[in-house]
Amino acid sequence: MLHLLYKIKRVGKLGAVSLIEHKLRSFLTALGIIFGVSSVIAMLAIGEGASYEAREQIRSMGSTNIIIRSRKPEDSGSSTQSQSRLSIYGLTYDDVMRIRTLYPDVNIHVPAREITARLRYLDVRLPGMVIGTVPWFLEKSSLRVHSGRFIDEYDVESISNAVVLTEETAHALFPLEYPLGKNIYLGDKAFHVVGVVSASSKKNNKEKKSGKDVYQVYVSISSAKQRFGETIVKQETGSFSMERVELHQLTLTAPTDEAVVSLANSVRSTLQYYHKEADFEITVPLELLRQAEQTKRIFNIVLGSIAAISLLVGGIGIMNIMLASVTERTREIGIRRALGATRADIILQFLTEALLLSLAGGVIGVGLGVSVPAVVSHFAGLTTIVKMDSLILAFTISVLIGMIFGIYPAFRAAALSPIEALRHE
Amino acid sequence: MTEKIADNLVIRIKDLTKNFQMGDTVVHALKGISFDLEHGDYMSIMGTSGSGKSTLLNILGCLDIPSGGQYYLDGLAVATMNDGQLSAVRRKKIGFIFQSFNLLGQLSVLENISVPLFYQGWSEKDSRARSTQLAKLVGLGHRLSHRPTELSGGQCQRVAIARALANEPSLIFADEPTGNLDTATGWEIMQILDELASQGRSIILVTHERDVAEHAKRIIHLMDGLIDSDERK
Repeated sequence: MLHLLYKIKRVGKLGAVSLIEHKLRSFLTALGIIFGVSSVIAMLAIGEGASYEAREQIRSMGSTNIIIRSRKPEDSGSSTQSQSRLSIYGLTYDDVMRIRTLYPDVNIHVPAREITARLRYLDVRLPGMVIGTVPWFLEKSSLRVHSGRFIDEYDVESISNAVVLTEETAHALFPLEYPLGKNIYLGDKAFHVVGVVSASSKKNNKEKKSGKDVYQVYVSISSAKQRFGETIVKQETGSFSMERVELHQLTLTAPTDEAVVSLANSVRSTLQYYHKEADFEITVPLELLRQAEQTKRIFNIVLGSIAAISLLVGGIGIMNIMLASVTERTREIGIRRALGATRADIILQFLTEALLLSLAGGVIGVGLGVSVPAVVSHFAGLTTIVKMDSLILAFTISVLIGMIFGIYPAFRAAALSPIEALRHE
Repeated sequence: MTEKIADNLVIRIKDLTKNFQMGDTVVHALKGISFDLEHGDYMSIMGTSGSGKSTLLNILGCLDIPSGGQYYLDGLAVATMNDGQLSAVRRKKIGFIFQSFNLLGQLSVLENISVPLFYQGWSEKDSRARSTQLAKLVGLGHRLSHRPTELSGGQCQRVAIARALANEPSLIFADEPTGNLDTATGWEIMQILDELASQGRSIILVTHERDVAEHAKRIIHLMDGLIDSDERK
């Protein structure tokens, strides 16, 4: 046994010396493996990172949540004519009552009612979004109270003029002053600032409406309804239309993950029964999550196939070079055989070279595969996650490739007749 | 299988034949060769090309097997051995010297001499010691780390001789050892071989040149696959 290890060590050294003799050729041969291994690891890391981001986003929407939004139905009639129309659409409080009655286990959030209005403090004027909501909106959202307080029960019951600003809005309206206690105008209505909230993630604060940033403020849902009316007037060129939406969004939370999908279908049929037009849409984050994972699985399979092909190509490259090397060293093989090398000795020699090549390629490939995602992360800002599995897998495969594609040339070398080999130029 | 043959014989061949298939025809390269070689004999095999001397050399050197007949090398029945067994025989019992030296270009003098020892599994230390000793023997003790490309023809052939001695062979084969050398250097090489013979080594010299063949004590002349003459001095 010891003798065998000793022999392997010596043949290994012999192989290494031979490879170093022809540095460029060895390097070019190993390139296939290097690219194969590094691209597998890098692509899987990028894919994993992207998938992670997607899943986190969906997760933040709540895996047991069902989000129902009012949606303006498609225009049935010509839109080129100048007409004034009143369109009533979307979710109503009646819908809320129905859902409450039919699904008592379900937790209902009525987060918001949105009204576009201009915000004004002294000389500062900003495009704004007034969100009429309920006190428990705070705990369900990703907002925290920064200073002062949020809308409370009293605001809702007394239809008070309390307004809560987002941090961005507070900075924009009050660059130099402390906002709490001041009076601002939402549209032409006066409101009193009672608090400032900030977001825990960057994504929630600014809503882009027609490309411009809009500043958000919160009032009680009753104030919104009373002061801004139920009718919203929008002006579009050529015509002007009025919209009346009671509720922009409704969030339901199912008791368990398993119940979500059937609940969503159930709610959909209930609402469809009472709504003549398709004026709402239902988003189920859990379904999105499952789709995202399915997509990721497919993505990984595609990547895996591409990587397999590139490793195959790398292996063929190795075989090619080894075959050329065998041909080139025919004389050498003949000499060694004449001096007493067995067929097995020759096979071992050439197989070791192929193995060393693919090992070296594997190691360099792993090194590259780990550093490329880091560079991408740094410069492109994408999340990348390198998984240990992919490293081990890629490395093992590169070693296997070396052995498989090195075997044939090694056998060819050993099969040469010593006399013929010696006669070779 | 070891047949009991006389202790003083290093080679016994009987009715050795070798045939080659060349397309549709069969070429009879050797048509029945027989001779014995005693330990310490110094023999030349002469013949023109086509006489079968290369074929005979290959068989004697265990690089090829005969189509028929028997060959005993140091008591071993070699004619029916498989590749692995023949490799072992070459490894342990035979030393080769070739016309074109056949050294390994990427190895140093010392490493070249060590090749047979490598395949015998010698340790690096022992191997180096023995190779150094042999290199000095052939007058190349000061050139141990040189590559063959840095040596003259004569020096290369000396390395080849040292290599042929590395495994303490029962028999040394020299195939046209002076063929690629000038007269003066060739003569030097023959001196070394003569010296080895006088030390009791068994040597078979294959050549087409009369004056080289004359160095040996016995000359076998091959013609058309058969022994034409067998002279002793």
